Amino acid sequence: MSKKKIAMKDGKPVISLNDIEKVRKLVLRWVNLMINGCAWVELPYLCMFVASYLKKLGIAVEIRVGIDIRGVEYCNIILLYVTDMEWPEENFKAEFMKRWNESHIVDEFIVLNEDDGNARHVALLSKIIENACQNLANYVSKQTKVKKTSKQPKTQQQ
Amino acid sequence: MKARQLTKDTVTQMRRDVMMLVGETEHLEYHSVQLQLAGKIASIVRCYGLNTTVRTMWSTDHSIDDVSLYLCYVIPSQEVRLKPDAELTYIFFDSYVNDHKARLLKQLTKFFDKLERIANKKLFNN
Repeated sequence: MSKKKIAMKDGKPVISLNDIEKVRKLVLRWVNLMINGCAWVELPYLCMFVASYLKKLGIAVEIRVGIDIRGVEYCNIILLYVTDMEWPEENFKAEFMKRWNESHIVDEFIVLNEDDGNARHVALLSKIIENACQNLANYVSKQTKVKKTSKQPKTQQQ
Repeated sequence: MKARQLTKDTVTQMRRDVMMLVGETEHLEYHSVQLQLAGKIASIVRCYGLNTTVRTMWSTDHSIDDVSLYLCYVIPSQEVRLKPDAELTYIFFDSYVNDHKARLLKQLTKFFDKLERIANKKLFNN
């Protein structure tokens, strides 16, 4: 089966370092602004708002909210960098679901508890967003360098 | 906060809140709107003691651009199962469907009918 990096188009990364930086700043600003006035019950909504921006970078997000066996409310946030992997062109969805359900492909995972308070929620959310953006930036830089290096011999021949 | 006991009244209230929200939401064809709506539904149903999972799927070539929402009611005294096999229902916003709202309302109606049957049977009321 043929493989492709879904973050690449015509040999270039689809997202740039600039895109990552823009989304990172915007999302962190929203997290800081919104979470101060964000009630615990609205947290899933805030997280999905953030997810709609992270999606632009190829980050898939899963939010799990509920009540555990002790009766304590939790909010789990899972980030998956779709860009940093190879995917089959065919049967993409089935492969995606299969990998998603395997814990090793989860790149960032945090658990927020109501009692932790807003400050900790901001800190944890900011941390996984920072990590995700940093890792993506490293990936894009690496891809760009690889492309430049592979282009050089052609230029010399010309 | 403890999970609420599921009663016919709570199901009715939950149905009203969620259906009203979906009814008021416009431009459900947009992925960002779907995402935020799923988050809002999750916020509402959690207040009634339901566990939810909202998941985005995405690819740069737009071959996948979907939101899914798992809703499940946790049986008090039973361990919370986080995997999707615990769900009572699975709602899927498909980018290639035209009438998103009608489809979503249909799925939610089915879900709340199911919850109502459970509440009527007092299956989870200890």
